[in-house]
Amino acid sequence: MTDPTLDRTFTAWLEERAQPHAPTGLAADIVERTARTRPRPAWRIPERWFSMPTTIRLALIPRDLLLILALWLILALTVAGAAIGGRITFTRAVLPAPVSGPAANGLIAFERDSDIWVVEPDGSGERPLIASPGIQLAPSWSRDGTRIAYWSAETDAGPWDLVVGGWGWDRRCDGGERCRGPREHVRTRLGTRRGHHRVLGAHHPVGR
Amino acid sequence: MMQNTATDAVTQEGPMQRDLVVRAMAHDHEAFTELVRLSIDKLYAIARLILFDADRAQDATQKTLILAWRDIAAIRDPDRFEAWLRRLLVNACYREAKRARKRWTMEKDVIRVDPGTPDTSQPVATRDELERGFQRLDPDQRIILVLHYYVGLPLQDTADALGLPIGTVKSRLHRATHALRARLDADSRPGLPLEQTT
Repeated sequence: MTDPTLDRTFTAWLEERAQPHAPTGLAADIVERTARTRPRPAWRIPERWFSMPTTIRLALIPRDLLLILALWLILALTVAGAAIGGRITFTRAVLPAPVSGPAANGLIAFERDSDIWVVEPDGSGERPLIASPGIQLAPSWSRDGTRIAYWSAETDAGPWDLVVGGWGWDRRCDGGERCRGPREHVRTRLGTRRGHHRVLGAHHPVGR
Repeated sequence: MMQNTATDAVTQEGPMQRDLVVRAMAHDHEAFTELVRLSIDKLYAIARLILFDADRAQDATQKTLILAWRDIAAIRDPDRFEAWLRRLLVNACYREAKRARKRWTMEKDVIRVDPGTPDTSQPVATRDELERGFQRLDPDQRIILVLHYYVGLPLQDTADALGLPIGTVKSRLHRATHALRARLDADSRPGLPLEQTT
């Protein structure tokens, strides 16, 4: 303070006003409580990780701001988790796949007797590619000709499952209801994205 | 500014306290009990001045020491135990003051004046004015004034206790003293005579 007299008076008043002794029993109460409390190990204390006094700084941050930051963090983690888990797909530019016509291997796939057959572009060399029990139809090659997608059902009444296969193997789509549909929706289109094969438009109604 | 003697007392007990702190850091509860005994009066006095409420001061002191035991491993330098404890106390006082804003209870010591004694109105009036003026300050301002004028901390140590840069502490201290002086001036100004107000 600018006034030395007031400075001294104020200091003297503070000393006079201060209670020289803590209430009786307070120390005993604290000792009893701390005896039941287990100290935290150093690695669990933020101040051991950061040289700044984190407790006071956190106390000075408005609580609303901390809440908003926490909500943002939860939201970001949720979105990241969903994206990693495959529930959210971020669409990117995808090369259009041929709806019909030969793929890179030149073979033309077609339906015959509820199976998938292939034929050379000149009409020779007809042979079955997929000859499984039940009905297989609507085949579509991937652009590079290494994968083929088609719909499969045990009977014509469905339900129709999307299947992706190649030479000597096939695998049913594990996307649940997305890979299942009524007969009129059956149509496949196989695209390529960053070197991976992905079934596109498998659930599109005919004519779209 | 008058430095407080309590700080000196702690300095004299320095080596012993250091040993106690080191033992407490190794989770020796007996050593911590001794530290509680050594520091509780001072902590309570500071909290009482800042909060102006016996119960809240008791709560703040209790929370400070329990937190100190729980986080005793946070101390890097045992010689800084007292400063660290002060920082915890300031933090606890902030929280208590924030909670108290909604329901503030006023506590005042009653000075008994014997009508037959000579007139000592001037010092009593000064104390009363200080009491009123100080009580009307924000908790932030009271904290900084108590640390600087009662605990006797230099600006750098006050800054450490508050976790603020020294420049901010200087300006806050200036504002706090200015606010206190303004309140004292306002109190000492004579009020309007009763006839004029009606």
